[in-house]
Amino acid sequence: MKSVLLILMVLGVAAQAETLTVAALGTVLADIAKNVGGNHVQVVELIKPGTDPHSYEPTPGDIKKISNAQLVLASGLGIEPYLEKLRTSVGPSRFLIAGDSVKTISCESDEQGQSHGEHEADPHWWHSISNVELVSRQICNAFSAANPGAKREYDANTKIFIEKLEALSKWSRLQVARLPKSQRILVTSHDALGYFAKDYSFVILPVQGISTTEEPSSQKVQRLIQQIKDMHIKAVFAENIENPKVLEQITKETGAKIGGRLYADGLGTDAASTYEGMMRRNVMTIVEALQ
Amino acid sequence: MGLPVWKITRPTPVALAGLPAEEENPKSSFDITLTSSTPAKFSIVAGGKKSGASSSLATSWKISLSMDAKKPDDLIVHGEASPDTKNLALRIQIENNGKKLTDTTLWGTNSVEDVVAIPAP
Repeated sequence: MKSVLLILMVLGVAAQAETLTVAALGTVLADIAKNVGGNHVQVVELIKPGTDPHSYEPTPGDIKKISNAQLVLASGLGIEPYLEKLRTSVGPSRFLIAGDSVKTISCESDEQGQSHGEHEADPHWWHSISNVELVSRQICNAFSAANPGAKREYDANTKIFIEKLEALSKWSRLQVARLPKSQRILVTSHDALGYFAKDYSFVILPVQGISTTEEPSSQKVQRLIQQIKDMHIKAVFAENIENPKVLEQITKETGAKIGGRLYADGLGTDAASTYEGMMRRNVMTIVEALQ
Repeated sequence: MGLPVWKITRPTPVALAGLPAEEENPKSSFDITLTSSTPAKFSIVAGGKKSGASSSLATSWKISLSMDAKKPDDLIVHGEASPDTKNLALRIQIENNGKKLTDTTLWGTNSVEDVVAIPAP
C-alpha cells in the first residue's frame, strides 16, 4: 500500500512539474504567457524588445524553435504577414491566435479608398487593457488544455494578473482624466494607438498608416503641419523602434515639441520591459507632454 | 527627402472627423450631486483642475460646474470618510438642464476615487 501511495505521489509531483514550451511571436504575448504560466511555462521569445513586428520574418533558427514548441502564440489580425505559411508548415493546431478573442476596432482605408491588405482590424489590440484581459484568459485556457496538471496554478496566476491589469486600468483612467478632452490629440509616428485612443477619448493624427512599412506622402506631412499649427498642439510623439526624422521636421516647422517616445509595437527595455511598465510609461509620457 | 506618394496613409477627413473644434463650444452648467453611505469629505477635479471640495463631513454635497456643452470633461471624484470606516459607497448623479446624464456608484473602504465620464448631453 505504501509503495502504491509513493508511486502516486511521484506521479503527482511529475504532473505538477511539467513545463510547457511556448513560442511567442510578440513581446506582449510573451509577457502575458510568463504571467499566466509562472513556473509551468518556458517562453521562447522570437521577437525581442525593440524589434519591429511589421517587418520581422522568422529565420530558419526561429522556425526550428517554433517547431519544438508545444504552443505558438501569435497576434493574428495581419501583423504577422508570414503567419499562414508558418501555420501550414508547422501545423495549425498548435497556434493560439490572440486576435480571435479580442474586441477589434477597424483600420481606416487610405486616401485612395484601399484597405491595408485583407485584414481590416487594427492589429495593435494590446493598447486596450481589456483586450489583454481577454487574451490572458484565452492563454490560460490553452495552457490548461495542454498541461492539465498545472491548471490550478494557471488559474491562480491569471487571477492575480487580471487584478493587476484592473489596477493598471484604474490608474491609467485617473492619469488621463488630468487632461482636458480638448487636449487629447495624439500626433504619432504611425497609427498604432487606436485602441488606446478609443478607451481614453483621444483623437489620433498619425504620420504613417497602420504599418510602419508605409511612408507618408509629402502632401500628408504638409497637411499635418498645418493642422498642428491651427490646433496649437503642444507635442508630437516618436516611437521606440522608428526613425523619428519626419517628426523632427514637423516639430521644426510647427514649434511643437517631441513629447517623448511611445512603445507602440511592443515592449521596450528596462521600465518598459513588462506590459504594465510599458503602459505606465506610455500614459505618463502622453499626459505629461500634453498638459 | 523623397517620400513616395503611392503609399498613402489614413485620409485626413477621417482622421479629423472626431477632432475637437478649434474654437471652443459654448459652455453649459452641469449639476453634480454626491451622496455617500457615511459622512465623508468630497472633492472633484475636472479637466485636470480642482473644481470644488466640501468643507466638512457630510452625506450629501452638490456643485454646479460650467463645462464645454458638447464635450464635458471627465471628472475625478474623491470621497474620504473617517479612517475607521469599513465600507463607503458614493453615488454620483449628474444632470444638465434637468436631463439625467450619469447615475453611478463607487465603492471602497474609507475612501473612494475614480473617473466619472459624462456623456454628451
